[in-house]
Amino acid sequence: MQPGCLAKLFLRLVVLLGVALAVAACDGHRPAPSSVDVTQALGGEAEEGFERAMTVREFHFPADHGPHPEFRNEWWYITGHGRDERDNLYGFQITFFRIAIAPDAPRRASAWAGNQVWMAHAAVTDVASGLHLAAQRYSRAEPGLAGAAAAPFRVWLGDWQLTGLPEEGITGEAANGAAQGGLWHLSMAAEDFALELTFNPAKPVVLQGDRGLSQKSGSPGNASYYYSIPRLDTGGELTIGSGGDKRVIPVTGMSWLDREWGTSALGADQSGWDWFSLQLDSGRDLMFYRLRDTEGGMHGSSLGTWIEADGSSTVISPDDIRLTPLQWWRSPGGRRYPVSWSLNYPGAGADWIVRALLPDQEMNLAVIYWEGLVEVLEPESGRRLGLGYLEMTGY
Amino acid sequence: MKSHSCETGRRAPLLLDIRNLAFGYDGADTPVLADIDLSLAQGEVLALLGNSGCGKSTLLNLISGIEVARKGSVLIDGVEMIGLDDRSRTLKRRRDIGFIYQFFNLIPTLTALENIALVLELNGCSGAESTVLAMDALASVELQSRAGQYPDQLSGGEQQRVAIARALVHSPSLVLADEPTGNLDGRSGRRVMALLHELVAARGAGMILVTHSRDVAAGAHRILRLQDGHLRAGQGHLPEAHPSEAHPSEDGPAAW
Amino acid sequence: MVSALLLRSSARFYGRHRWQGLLSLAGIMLGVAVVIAVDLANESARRAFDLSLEAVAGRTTHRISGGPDGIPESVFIDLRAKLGLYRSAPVVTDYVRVSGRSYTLLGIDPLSELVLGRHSLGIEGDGDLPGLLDADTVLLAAGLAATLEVGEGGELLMDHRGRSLRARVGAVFSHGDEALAEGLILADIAVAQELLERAGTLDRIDLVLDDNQVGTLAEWLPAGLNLVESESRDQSLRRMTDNFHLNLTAMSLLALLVGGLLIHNTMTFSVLQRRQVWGACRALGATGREILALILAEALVFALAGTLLGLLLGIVLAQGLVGLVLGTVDDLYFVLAVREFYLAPRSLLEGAGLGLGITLLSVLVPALEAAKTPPASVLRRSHMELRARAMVPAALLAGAVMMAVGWWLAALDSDSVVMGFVALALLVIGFCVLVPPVVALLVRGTLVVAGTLFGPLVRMMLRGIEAGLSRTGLALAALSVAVAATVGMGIMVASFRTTLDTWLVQSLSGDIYISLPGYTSERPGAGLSPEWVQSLAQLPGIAAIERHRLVRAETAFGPVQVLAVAGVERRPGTLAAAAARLPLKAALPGAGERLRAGEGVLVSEPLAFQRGIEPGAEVTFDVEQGAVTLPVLGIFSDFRSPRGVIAMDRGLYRQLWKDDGISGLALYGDGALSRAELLDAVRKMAALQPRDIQIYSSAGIRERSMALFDRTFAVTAVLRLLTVLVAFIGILGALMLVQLERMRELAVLRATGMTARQVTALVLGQTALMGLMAGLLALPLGLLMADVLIHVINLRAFGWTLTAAIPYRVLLEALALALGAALLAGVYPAWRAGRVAPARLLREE
Repeated sequence: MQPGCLAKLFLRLVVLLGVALAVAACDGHRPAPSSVDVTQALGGEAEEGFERAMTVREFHFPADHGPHPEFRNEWWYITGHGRDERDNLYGFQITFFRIAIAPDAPRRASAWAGNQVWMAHAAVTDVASGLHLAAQRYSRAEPGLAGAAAAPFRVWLGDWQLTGLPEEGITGEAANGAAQGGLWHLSMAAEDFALELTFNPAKPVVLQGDRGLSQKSGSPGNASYYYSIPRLDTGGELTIGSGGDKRVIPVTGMSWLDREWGTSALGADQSGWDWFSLQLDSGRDLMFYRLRDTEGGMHGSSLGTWIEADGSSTVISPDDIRLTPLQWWRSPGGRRYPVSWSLNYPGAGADWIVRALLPDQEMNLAVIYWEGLVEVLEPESGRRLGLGYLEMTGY
Repeated sequence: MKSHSCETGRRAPLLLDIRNLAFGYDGADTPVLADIDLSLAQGEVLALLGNSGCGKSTLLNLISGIEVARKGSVLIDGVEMIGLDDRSRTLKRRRDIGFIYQFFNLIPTLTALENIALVLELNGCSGAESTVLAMDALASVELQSRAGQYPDQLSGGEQQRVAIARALVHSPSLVLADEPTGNLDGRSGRRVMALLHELVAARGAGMILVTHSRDVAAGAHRILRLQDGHLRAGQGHLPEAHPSEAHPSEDGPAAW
Repeated sequence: MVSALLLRSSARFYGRHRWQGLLSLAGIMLGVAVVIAVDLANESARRAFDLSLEAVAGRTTHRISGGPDGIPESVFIDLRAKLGLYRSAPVVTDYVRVSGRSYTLLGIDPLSELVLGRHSLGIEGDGDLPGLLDADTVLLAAGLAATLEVGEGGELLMDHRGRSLRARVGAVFSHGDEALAEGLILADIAVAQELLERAGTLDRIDLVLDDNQVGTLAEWLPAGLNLVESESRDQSLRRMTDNFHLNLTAMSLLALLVGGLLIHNTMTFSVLQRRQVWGACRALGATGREILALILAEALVFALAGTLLGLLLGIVLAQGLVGLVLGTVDDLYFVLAVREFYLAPRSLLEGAGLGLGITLLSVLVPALEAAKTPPASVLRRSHMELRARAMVPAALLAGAVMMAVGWWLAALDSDSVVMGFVALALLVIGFCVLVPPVVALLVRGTLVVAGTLFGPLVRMMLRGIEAGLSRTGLALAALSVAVAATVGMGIMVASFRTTLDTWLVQSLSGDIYISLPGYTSERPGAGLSPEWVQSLAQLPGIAAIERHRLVRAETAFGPVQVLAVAGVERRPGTLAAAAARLPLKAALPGAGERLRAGEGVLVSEPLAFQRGIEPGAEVTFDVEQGAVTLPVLGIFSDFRSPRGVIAMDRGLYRQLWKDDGISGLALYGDGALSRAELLDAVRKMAALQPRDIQIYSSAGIRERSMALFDRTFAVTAVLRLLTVLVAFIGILGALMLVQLERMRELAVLRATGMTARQVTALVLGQTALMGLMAGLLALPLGLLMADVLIHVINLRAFGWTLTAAIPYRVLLEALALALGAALLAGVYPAWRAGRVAPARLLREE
């Protein structure tokens, strides 16, 4: 990070408040390898005045799809894959981050005054072309430049938005009552790619951790509320390229929604995480986040969930699972990411290889991390068992 | 370069040979000099008599290459001066000719010693070499004690002695003296002439002595008269006259 | 290469002639110093301008600007959310005053700025960072904080259009480019809206757009808003300051010319003076090349020393000048955010190159001469003196041709300012070439015609002048040019002043003028309260009130000030007419009535000149109802704004812009009360208003305007003085040297029986005579320069037609200046001459 740049102001806001906004591209250059990463951004003490995830709470839908501004940070995270008519595989990702820079919204004459800022990241992976494109947006919330609402559902930052559609989703009997939010539509366009996708929940909401309370370190309150919808039937169009090279690709596939809010995240003894969301052809899903301690080992607060086809779930504790990096990829910025893993979860008889479909899926944005489409392979046969997303930070 | 050009002891048998030399200024009807034939042997002293404006000084300038004749030939040590470019003439002049003027023409901003050393420096001698040789030269005119004085701190006689030392320091084969006593009183004039003859003789150089004074001319081996631009025989050859025995009387009034 | 002894001899020469050495050095030093000073000041001003523009406008491709009321902030939200124009940044800005100086309060959205990649700052210390977005919190650059003597957490008191504001300094930031942040008070956009009372409104939206987006946006943009290329805006501003800088550069080149002549003169002289020495050296056997090298080496020493000193002096001078130059830019154009002195490496290099180059070049001619001339003629007599005389006819011809071409160029029908300056340069250089031969001819002529009339002493004086011309000619030319420059600039400034004053008298038809502070700034603000204006009208002693509105509007010509003049509320017996305030230069028949009827507009002269607008042309305005095209009824002379003013009837303005605001008032008394009484009554009423209201009598405005004018032109006065100073040193040197060289001659005169007093008189008389000639020659050139400056350069640069006024005082001053300089220069030699001991000097040689 270069000194003497406005980004520093925000970075320091970020560091002080421990929110996930850190912006480095202040002079138009791509951030240097020394640039801030998510772990740094999420470190630090929580600010007084924010609410904290202390106890198990009850979730109400669709209200909890909307914002929780009394917590410092919150995100709407959709990752997924799709295939075009020629069966080419694509990955995509959209994230809206909400960051409160002060606990209370001020009452002031100017409509621009407020306490919330937003950041959004999006990416698309074209496996056949070996292409990974990423983009970001940031904005203050006021006056109406970015925000979120539960009913009607809407999360937006400029013209990037995730909106609830009037028609009902295929809720089905499998859904556990009020958890469904219906159909959502994503619309975003960056300079060199765009996503126009509709999501339809195909599994009920899964509350992660202890009934939705996801402890991130030993100290109380250092936790978040966390739920997922592990399967969303997805259809729509990807646009890749710009100008004359623009390709509009109709796709259908499957997505995963993660929703999380809280006031602090990483403990001082944590250096980053590896987050897996895997959707198996058998209809079952696995989510596991490995929090790494400063030695690079598995931190005790790591946690996961095994989800059956009917939506019933089992908690995966760190002792239940073994994750071993097999292969590393070095980014142009000099970061080394493990892009091939051995995953051993005897609880479900899983002994897999989880491998990136494209090594270079680094999100080289203001905050640098790796987030990309992966496949789940059977080690002996090499048979593909499923697809998923992997997020790696702190490398 | 330095060792090559800093030569101060070299001799050649026939010194100067002038044939058919003529010179005139642009637009002037009568030439300043016409049909000059003159030769000078090594070690010979020639006195050139003539009245003011007869062309004596011009002749010296032609010989030294300060001015260039349109016609004729000037051979010094077998080198033809006419036809040489200015630079070559200058180089020839500074190596082989010593010049003494009526008005001394010392550089006012250099000391007596430096005035002498300048000639050596121009001939490529190093500063140290020059200083040693110049000091010797100054000693030969008995002015060691005035080495650090500027010209305007010296008397006329002293200045001319410095000029003599300067003219001889690089052991030129030819010395040209233009009214060397013209600006001096009788006493110092005699002293200067005695010194000049002695030093020229000691170095075996040839000398042309321009003067309008018979007494000064008396010390020469040969006297020629320059009249209306033509060279005529003077009043005979005085081969045995010893320079120190010449007793030039007091010159006429100062030239200006 | 060069003999050490010869170098030593040169050093001793200057050791003995210290005066000469010092003068040569002073010549080079002053020449270099003036050029560098002006160049540095210019460069600083230009950089300040660029940085200020960048600080305020940023590196964006386009901007959206609004009408008088700014832009509704909803437009920005739509841009982001509906059009997806992410690379966009809202700005709320206005000038505020702190401790009597204007600064730009810039309200930005930090995240949008991040997107555009500008205004990147580094925060010093561990401030309460989240607090930066708190209400009433501003950020100051470190330099500015130091200037204002407030630190982090301190309180900043600002004045905004007469309203006092209080803000907390949330942080002091360092900036990669400290100069850029120098004049900015930065605030979050919310804070700025609140401080400036602009909630809901933006002043502009800066954008980075590609071609497709431009089309889409232009189509979408609500009426009343304009999409402007930021480039073109910058360029129109830059063009105007460019002209200003060109004027200054011309002055510095003039100083350079004078300095160059001076350097040439002293160096030539020092070579000529020692021709005996060169001759002796040549006779001794020094080659021409050795002499050349010696003289060049000598010159190099002078050039290096003089240039170095000149650089130092120039930097010091420039510090003083830059304030004046920046002041002018401020007064004429806009408030600069950046005011830092900038040591432009290019200027320094240029100055150094000039000093070295000119010195070596000017010594090259005499040095070549000394080296090439055969030793015989060097010994014989002054070769150059003869050559100088032989050159007289050629110089006369060359000078005359140059001046003729210059004059022809000036008369050409062109609007190129540069061409104007080329013409001016040709006139001046031609003149320089002419001076020595003309002086020679003058002297000879005088001798022939009136030779017998004068006593031998005067004849001797005249001959002495002619004899020394090869050494004094150039110094004389330099003095002439410098004096001519003061005449030319003096006449130009005086003409400008007179014209401005006349215009003010014509324009200020009212008795009392009322406005809010910030009247001339680009955004109108809320204006005067209508109720208060109504109550003013009820005051006894007021015959009529004229309301006007001055706002900035986007037109096809770029941003232009629109002046809406009101229908006057008359009381019986008054004749105040709106159009009377706008002295017309050219108009269609019935322009006055048609203007009042709202059938057209008037265009100010600078705008008309720049855009080639003539009466009958059309102007298009972008207003809410769409594009409105109106005929230009006439051109009025205007010195308010070089950017142009369009005047129209207030009724038409209200109809087009739906703006009822009142920027200012002109009050007409009915004669019942004296002006002072009326002023008093109005002031009492104004005191009841919450806001600061400016009230001036028309005389007061005139006074203030003229004071502003004088301040603006202060820099030209300083430059004139500097140029004359350089010339003075030149003439001092040249005259002194010539006279000192003549000491022998004077000794002879003393010896032949002239008294000491006579000798002194001879020397003084001679220098005085030369000064007088230089002065007389300077007058025609000065008038010529004034003519070109007034009718060619000012017209082309600013579009201002000035009425030439020739103040005879300026002419007399010029003569006195030349005479004084010459006389002063003669004092020392005359004193020396009087004390010369004939015997000693005669003996010396």
